Amino acid sequence: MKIKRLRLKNFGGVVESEVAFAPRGVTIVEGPNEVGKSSLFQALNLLLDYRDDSQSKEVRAVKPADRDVGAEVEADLEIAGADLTYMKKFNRNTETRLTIRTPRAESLTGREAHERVETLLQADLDTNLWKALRIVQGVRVDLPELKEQPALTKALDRAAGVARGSDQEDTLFEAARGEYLRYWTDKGKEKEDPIGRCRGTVLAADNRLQELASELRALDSDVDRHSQLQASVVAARASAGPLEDGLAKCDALVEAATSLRDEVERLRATHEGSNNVAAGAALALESRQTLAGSLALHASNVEELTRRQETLGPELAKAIARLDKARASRDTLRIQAADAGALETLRRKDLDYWGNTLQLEQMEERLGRVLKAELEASAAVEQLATLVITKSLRDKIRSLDADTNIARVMLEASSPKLQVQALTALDLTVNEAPRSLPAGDSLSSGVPEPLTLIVKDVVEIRFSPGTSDSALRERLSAAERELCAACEAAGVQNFEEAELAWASRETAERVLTARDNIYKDNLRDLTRSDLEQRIKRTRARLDSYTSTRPSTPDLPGGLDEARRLVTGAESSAAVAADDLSKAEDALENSRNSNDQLREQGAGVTALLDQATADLGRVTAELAKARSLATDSQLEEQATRTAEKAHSTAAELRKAEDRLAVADLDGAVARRQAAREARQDGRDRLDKLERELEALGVRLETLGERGLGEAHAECERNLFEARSALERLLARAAAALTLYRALERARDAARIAYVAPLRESIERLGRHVFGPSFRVGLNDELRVVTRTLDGITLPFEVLSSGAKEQIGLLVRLAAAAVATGGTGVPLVLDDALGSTGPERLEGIGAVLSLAGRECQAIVLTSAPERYAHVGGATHVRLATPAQT
Amino acid sequence: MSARFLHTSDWQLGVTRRFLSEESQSLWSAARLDSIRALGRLADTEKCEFVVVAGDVFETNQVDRRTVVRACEVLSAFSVPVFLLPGNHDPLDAASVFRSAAWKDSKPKHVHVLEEPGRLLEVRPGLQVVGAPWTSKRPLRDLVAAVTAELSPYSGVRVLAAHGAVDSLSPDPSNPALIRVAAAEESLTEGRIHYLALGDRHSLTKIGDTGRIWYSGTPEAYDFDEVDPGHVLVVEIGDSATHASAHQVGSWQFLRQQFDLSGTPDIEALTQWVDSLPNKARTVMKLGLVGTLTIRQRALLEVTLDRARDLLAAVVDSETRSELSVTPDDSDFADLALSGFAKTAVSELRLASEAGGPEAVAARDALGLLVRLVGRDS
Repeated sequence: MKIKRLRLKNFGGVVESEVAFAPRGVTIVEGPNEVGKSSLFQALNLLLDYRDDSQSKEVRAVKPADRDVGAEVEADLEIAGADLTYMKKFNRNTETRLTIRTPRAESLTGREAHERVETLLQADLDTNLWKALRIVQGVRVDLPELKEQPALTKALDRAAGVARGSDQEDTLFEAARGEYLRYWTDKGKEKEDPIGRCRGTVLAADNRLQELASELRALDSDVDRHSQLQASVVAARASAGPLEDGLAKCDALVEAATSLRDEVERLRATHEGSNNVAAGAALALESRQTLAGSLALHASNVEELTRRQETLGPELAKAIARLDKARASRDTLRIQAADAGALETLRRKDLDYWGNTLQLEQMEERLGRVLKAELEASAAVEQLATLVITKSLRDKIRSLDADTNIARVMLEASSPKLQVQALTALDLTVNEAPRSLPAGDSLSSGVPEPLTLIVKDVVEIRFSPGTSDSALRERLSAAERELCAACEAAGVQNFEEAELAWASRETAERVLTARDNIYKDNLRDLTRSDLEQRIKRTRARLDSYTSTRPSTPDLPGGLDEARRLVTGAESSAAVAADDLSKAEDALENSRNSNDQLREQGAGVTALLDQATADLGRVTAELAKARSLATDSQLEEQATRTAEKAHSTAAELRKAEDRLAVADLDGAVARRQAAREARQDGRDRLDKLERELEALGVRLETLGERGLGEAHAECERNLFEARSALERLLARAAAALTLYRALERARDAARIAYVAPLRESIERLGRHVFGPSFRVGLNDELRVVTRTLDGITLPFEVLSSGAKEQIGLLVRLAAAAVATGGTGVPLVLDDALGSTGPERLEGIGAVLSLAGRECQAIVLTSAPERYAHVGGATHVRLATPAQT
Repeated sequence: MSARFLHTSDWQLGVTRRFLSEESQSLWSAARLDSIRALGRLADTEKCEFVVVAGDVFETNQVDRRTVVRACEVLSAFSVPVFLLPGNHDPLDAASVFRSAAWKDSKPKHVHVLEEPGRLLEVRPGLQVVGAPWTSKRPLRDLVAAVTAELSPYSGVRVLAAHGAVDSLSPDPSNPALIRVAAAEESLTEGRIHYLALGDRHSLTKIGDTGRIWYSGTPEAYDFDEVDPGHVLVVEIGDSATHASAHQVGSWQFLRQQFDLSGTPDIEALTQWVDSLPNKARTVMKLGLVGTLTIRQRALLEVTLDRARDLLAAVVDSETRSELSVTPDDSDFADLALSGFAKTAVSELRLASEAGGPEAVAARDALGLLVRLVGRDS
């Protein structure tokens, strides 16, 4: 379809407007907002879609609000090769008029005209694509819905060179997929139901078959074993007789050998009796010989001990004499040592005496110093009790006295001066104080207060101070009063007394301090009474010592002599003690020597007594024995019994030789072996019979189970299950093969199908985005990725500007592709609001390119945005066309 | 000197065939008992004096107790003595079914097991039965010769029951247990025995020229390679001649058939052949299919085979005799009106189906599935 001209009259807010469009290329319709640009295509939609008598909301909406007239739309169009003019009037005085000029002139009105146009449109225009490609003002430019657009689809099919197939193919695909999913998962794995289940049935049957086969093999083995056992039992029974015979022979041999063994035992007993008799005779002879030897030995022993006893007596007497001498020497030295010790003790006591005497003197001196200090302190305390003055009073008096003197000097300095020059010796009275003034001397005095000078009998001169120094006088009086009061408080008359009193106080206080120090130095931690007690006790002890001490030797004259005497006594005592110790050692040695000799003597005596007794006993024994049998009798008896024993031994050896030949042990062993062989045979037979019996019972039990038939039945089940599985797997393989083949073919067709549209988008897009621009499309012909400079991004994450530009490119490309057959015009109504200036140039070039293949109409209030569209037809909508 | 008796063998009660479904297996087991009932009735109608079963009464010694009890129950209906010989399937070993409690508890009194080789059992004065039973699965000598060597000539009729292969049919020098026919015939000539009733071979077979040595065959068909199974022999021994007549008692058949399939008419012919079979529920069919079919024809064949499987006791594929190839043809897809990727996929699968190997089979099956899916939806 091509739109050549549109005319509106009384259409909504538009009174009248007419626009001619370029049938090919880009037409840019310019005009300010609200001038009615959008109404142009709203009107075209009504013209094409609605009958003139339509009461639809859309139709009623375009009736002018201020006039009672019908909305009129007229268009020159080219549809399906027909060049026509189509007009409709809606809402009032409705009318439809169609004039077809080529290829065949027709003129139709009313419904006939409407239906004729619809027929033409159906043959030419893909209405959905027309709507999809249109960009409506105010709506965001997004990707168009290109899926299920017949015009585009046909064009893409043509370009791909293959038909995408009809619904039948899609239905087939879905059916094949359904068949596939009966056996396989989405990921191509066998489904548990039915394949896994069927495999499980086969496996279970196979396992059961193996079990039964195993049991049958065991049963067959048991049957064979049973047969073998039967043969073995027969053989075992047959071999029992020979074993019994062999055992009987062995029994006879053992019996004969046993008789021989008994004979040997008897002869051995006889021989042992003879041997014992001979041994007894030999022993009696030997005892006799031993007793005789013992007698000689005892006699010799008695003689030796007697000699020893005789030599020990003198040695013992000498030893006793040495012991007595040593004891006497020791006693003497013990007395000397005691004396030396007593003297040493006395000298030590003397030294203590002198030490105590010195200590007593020192304590008495300390006591004297304490008593003296106490006396002085007592006087000082009494004096302090009389003294009122304190340090503060003393300081105050000193200050007041100084103040008084100052006041006085000041008064005197300001008061008249009396100057008397004695021309002769004068006796004067100055304020009743007599003064003598030799001739030539002078008396000088201030007159701070009334002064009376009397020269006896000569003159009485009265001086009165003037009134000019009364203040000074008053100050002096005040000072004197305060001084006087202070002195009175201190218990003194004046300043001088105060000084003296203070000096007395200080002296008394020093005495008290001195007493305390003396206490500390002399009494230390004692009281005076303690010290006195000590002195008393020491003195009593000294008196006691002098009264009790022996008179000789004399008490030393002093401490030094006492010390010297102690040293001498200690030395003497040490020498005496050493001598005593040596004497003790010598005494001990003598005592030990004496004891040893005594012990030797006692021992020899005891041995001699024992030896003498033994000699007597042996002599008696020998005599007694010989009275019973003489020595020669004993010798004869021994010879005779020895010969008898020799004879029985020879007889025994012969019997033993016969027994060895009979080999009793060997016969017994052979008999034992024969017994064991017989028992083994019995055991073996018993075991075989028991095993045979047990096997028979087991076979009987197994036979009842019908294993063979069960095995065959199981084999049949397995065959059935395997057959079912094979058929199932064949069906599954067929479903898999078919589905995969269809899937591969469909995917290949899809890729080929979207290729022209993708290539068209990329070709146009390179003008906007550059030579690296690529897009990816899905089955629904939607752009899903954009690639720039090798970087691929999902469409969703692109900027709104890029999305808008790609949305425009897709529309242009779809329009261009579809134009090859039944093209649709592309309408852009105030689009590219989000596109920046840097892209507008590229977009302009793209629009120009698209315009070569389809009709493009741009409605805009900002024509400068499309300044880059080369070769465009510009149409300006005039404002006056609006009401 | 005369006698009339029924000779049978190889009942193999308790046998299972793996290609049978559970239901068919039940029918199969029941049929074997039915055939024994039938031969019991035949013995009555033919006035036989006894029935001798020459081995393999049971498929194995380890049959289910129910099999034993049911067999005894069927045998209890017989009105004449029955002599059973242990064969190679049920030898008289320690686990012999004839020594089982089930057998001992259920055995009818007129049923006798020929347990002891050479022991003479008298049916009536002048009529003896003697057996050469198997006591293990691997006998090491000619059991017939061993028994006849101990027998003296008999003036009455003496029937020897034996089991195993004869040297005239299965010459195997390594088999010490082969029955030497010449020795047996010599015994017949010398009058030590008068009839040798053999078992082991499932096909009814006369041995030698005396007319007195026979394999009765199994009374119920067992496998595809049997010749004339399903019979029993009624034997009449007279002074001058011996006559053995075969009687049908079995109801099952094992059929082996080959078909050359090259188009829809051939498949239709196969269908008609299946439909024409009698006693379908007791028929086991082994098909050998050769030829070339298209996908659609193959699908049609599958329909026919599925129907056959439903009707027959079993349809067994002959692995050695089947050489059926399936080649996709343009006609398979012409009316499907496939376009686009589906058409591409069909081309790919057709190419794969021509390559050979398991992938080709899968591709061929996939094409079959595609045809079915499109047909289902259209």
